Amino acid sequence: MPYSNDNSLLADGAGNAKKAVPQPHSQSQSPQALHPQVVQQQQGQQPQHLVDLLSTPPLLARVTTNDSAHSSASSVSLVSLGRSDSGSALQSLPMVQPTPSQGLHAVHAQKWQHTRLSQLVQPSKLISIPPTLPVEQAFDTLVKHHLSSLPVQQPGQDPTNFSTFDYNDLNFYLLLALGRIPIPEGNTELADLAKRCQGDGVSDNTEVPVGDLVRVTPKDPFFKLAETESLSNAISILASGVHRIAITDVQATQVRGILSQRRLVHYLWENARCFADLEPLLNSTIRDLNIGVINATGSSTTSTILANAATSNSRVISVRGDQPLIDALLKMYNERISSIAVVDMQYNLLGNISVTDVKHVTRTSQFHLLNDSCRHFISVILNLRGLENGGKDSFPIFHVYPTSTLGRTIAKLVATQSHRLWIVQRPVGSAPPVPATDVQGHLHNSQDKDNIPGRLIGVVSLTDVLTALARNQTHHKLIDPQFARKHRSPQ
Amino acid sequence: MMHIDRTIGLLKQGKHVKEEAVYSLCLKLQELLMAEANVTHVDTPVTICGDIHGQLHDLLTLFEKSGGVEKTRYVFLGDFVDRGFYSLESFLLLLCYKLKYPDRITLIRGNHETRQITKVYGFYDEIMRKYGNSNVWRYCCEAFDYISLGAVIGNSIFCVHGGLSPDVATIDGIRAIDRKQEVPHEGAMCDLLWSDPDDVDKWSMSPRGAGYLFGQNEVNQFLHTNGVDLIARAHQLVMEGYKEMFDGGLVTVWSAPNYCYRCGNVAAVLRIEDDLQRNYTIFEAVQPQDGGGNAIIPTKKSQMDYFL
Repeated sequence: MPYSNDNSLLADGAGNAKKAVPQPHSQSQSPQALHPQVVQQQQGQQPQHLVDLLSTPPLLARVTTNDSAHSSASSVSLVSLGRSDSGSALQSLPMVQPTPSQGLHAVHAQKWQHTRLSQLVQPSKLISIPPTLPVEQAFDTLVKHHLSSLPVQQPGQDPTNFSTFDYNDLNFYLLLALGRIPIPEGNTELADLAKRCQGDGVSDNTEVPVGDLVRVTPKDPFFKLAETESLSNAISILASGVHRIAITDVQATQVRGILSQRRLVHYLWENARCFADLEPLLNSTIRDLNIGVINATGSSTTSTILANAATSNSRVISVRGDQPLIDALLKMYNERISSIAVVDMQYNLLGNISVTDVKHVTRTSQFHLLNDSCRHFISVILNLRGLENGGKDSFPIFHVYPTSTLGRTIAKLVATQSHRLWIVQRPVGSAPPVPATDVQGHLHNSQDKDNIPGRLIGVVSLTDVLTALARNQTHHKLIDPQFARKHRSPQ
Repeated sequence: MMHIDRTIGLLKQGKHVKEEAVYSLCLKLQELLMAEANVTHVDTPVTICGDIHGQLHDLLTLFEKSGGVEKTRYVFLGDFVDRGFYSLESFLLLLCYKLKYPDRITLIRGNHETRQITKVYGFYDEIMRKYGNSNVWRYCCEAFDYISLGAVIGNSIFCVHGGLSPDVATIDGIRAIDRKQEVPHEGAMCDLLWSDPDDVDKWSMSPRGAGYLFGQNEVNQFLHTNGVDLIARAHQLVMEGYKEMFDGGLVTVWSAPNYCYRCGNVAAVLRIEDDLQRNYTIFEAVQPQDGGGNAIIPTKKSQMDYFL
């Protein structure tokens, strides 16, 4: 039943898709109706398999100019993204205007690496906060503008050098206030901050300014690039695990925008059909590209996976569903990660907790959640998220397989607007149908039916996707996706 | 039958039902549904109902405002459990009605009638709270596996919880699915319970992480291929209770008013007459009360609520 992602689908810019050769399914034998490809052929519908089609980049947005009425070739434009990530209207900037004779050849000859960063950032009013702002108000600002991070800038000082306030800092603040951060001997600044967070029990909590907080929290190394620089430079930085770069004007006097990993991946995906050299990359599997973190699964038998998990051989950082939430928050801080998988006893993936979910435990009325289980917290997050999405509940986990293509991975990352996908083991087969004779007896033990969707064996993030793209560059650079994480320290 | 009537009485008051009784009811439902096809045929007139999500008292209002099971035929489009505080009672009430009036009520499976979803969206927690162990949850999930996937009303209206699947173009195709299992996280059975209609010109990846988005083209194709006039589905909150799309080719029906006790929406049910005319009934939420007539209000935030 699961469709093999090994069918590579080649589609040229004119939209003529070569039909994928149907592979025999060696997986589960769950009897679907007719084989879907057969059904579609009979009905004269699209010849390619839908999953493969959606794993290839979208068709480009077209711009109608005054000239297009006369030219036979449509002017293909690069879609540039505005500041907001939340799916607001993409603005098309005419970048390539091929003459009828050039047609699509000019498009395919483009190298994405040479795209200027100015294409990706929309000059607009940047929201920033002064370092004197209390942490609580800084947090409110994040929530109000649906941001995950904010520049902390002192008015009057160099606007192109700044720190940031994000949910990692809020998590740190919470853990500090709860006395869970060990204070190294002699670190008076941290000790003082801890005292102020915790309050002295007599007078009111002194409001801690956000500037004091971000001075002591672990941070990605700060990078900035001029807008005239190319994507090639930006991707090298972002592929090392840095989450965002400041883009400045040429003179580096003002900040034009912030380029995040997510925006860059979205941009490349939306415009991938312009860049012919991306195609073979997108058709390669995660495993073949050797990106992401995958547990060694020479044999992916259950016992191996459980053994790995039990002896902490797993390279994927996780927490059990029955552990208290505070354990998950601590682990994220200690491991310098922004999201953690939540698994059950058999290492099946239940869901995940991101550092941004700290926003749900910032008030005293929510503190009980810290001692409740991680699984319970997941239900809190999912319930709230479903309501925020207008009553559209999402699947508890976003996942792919080691055999999924890079294209499929990016398509899902973009559609779900997430920063990472969990890699799970493919289910061995669907549960066997219940024989009639068993009905007389008892209700079946449903333990083995919990196998879906499979055990957690890895994770692939935006960083990993960018690593694959960066390594593909013509001038090969040594990319270490763990670079930023290893270097997260107080600035 | 007396036993069932007594249970119905308890359920309507939100009172505790013994674990052994739940076991027995779930087993009986399995036996009954075993013989039911993936896509059941239903006659008009009939009332189509959307998501319930454990809002028992609003479910009682629904029956009150639409004639009740004794007098009216019903199709429930799934999502009986999760989120509301009375998931178990809501599901068991519908289960009892199905046992008592098997030809008057049709149940269709929603994406929440699964182990994986109920574990994190509230039903599992509710059972742990009410019983101290998860047995009742397991019994119900076993029963969920037998619930059918769709219905056709009078050869004209196709009913499903979520939407369409690119892997199944015909209703016959749905009939051949092996449904008696946990809902897979991809494939036709999954799509039918997870997909959403949207303003797209072709199939698209769903932001939910399961199922697909489909547009007018796909709906028209399906209606034409299968000779039906309407797709009736639920799965998405609608503030006005119901919403027609694609020139009346598809309707979303939502039957949980003031969803999660905070959304402020109204609910609707859709009655299909013998001449296939559509009549919508709108209803609002009631204040949920416990057995003693005391109002049950979800805990409000305390007055003193400090930041960290």
